[in-house]
Amino acid sequence: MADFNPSPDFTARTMQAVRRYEAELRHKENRAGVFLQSKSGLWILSAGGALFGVLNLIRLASTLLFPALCR
Amino acid sequence: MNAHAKNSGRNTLAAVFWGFALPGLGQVYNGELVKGISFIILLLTASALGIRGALLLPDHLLIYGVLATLILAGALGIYALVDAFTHASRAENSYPLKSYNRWYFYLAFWLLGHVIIGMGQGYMRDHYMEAYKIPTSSMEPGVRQGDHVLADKTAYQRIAPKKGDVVIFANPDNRSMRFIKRIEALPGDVVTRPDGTAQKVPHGFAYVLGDNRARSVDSRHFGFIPLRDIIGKVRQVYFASGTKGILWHRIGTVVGG
Repeated sequence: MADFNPSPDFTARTMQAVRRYEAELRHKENRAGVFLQSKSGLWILSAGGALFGVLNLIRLASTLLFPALCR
Repeated sequence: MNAHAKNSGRNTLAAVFWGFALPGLGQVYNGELVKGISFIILLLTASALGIRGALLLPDHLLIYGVLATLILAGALGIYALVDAFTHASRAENSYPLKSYNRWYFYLAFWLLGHVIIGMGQGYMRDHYMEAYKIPTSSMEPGVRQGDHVLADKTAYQRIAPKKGDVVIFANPDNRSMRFIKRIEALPGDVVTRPDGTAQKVPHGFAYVLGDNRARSVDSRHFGFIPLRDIIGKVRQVYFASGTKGILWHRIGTVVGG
């Protein structure tokens, strides 16, 4: 195999690619974080959580709330 | 993968949201998978023990035992929420992501958790206690139309059925239908059939009648019922409604002999 002779700016180009990749990852992480901190995100989480809470309460008492019929 | 992507703070509202979705899921969000699974197991175990314990109480206390079990289960759910919130607030700034901190893992955990809880509830309903609504007047005045009753499915594991017990059993002509009647005669007793003939109740069978003879389809029509078809013993009215609304005075009424 021939010896590999990297170009003079190989290191620089590689590190630029790595930093671009890291920035993309940070952007994705930040998007989730920004959404969770936004007003709509808070409303959605709160409303969704409340809905789940109510549904779980109904499920907890479902045997009493939805009895079987008996003649 | 860089260190920043692996360190993402926990959001307290997200932890509470997942906790509302399923008790234990908030703990999974916070990186406590074993704790999250333990919450589900604890919830099911506490519910099962609570219902079994309630069934051992005297008839007039059954409804309180069931309520106490529901409150206990609710309290466990609230504790799971508070725990998820507390641990998320401690990890708000920095939290090393675990391999299962992915939205699809939360979704799978949520689905599986609800399936397991559903199976647990189904088991308790099939083997411990079930609630029934009475749409007919065949058992009046003891059990009225509009009554909601609790049937103990473990009663006859401890003692044999006796005369006067109000029981739920599978309709001999349509086994998907449930009937409620009172045991009038047991094996060895002699009953007078509608045609006037006397007949001994055979071994392994019972003779059941509705209290409201004029409006009841019972052993006078379909004959003896196998004792093994008795599903449970009716013990208490937990809710009652009529044409004038909720009948508060009937709630807690003890049923049967």
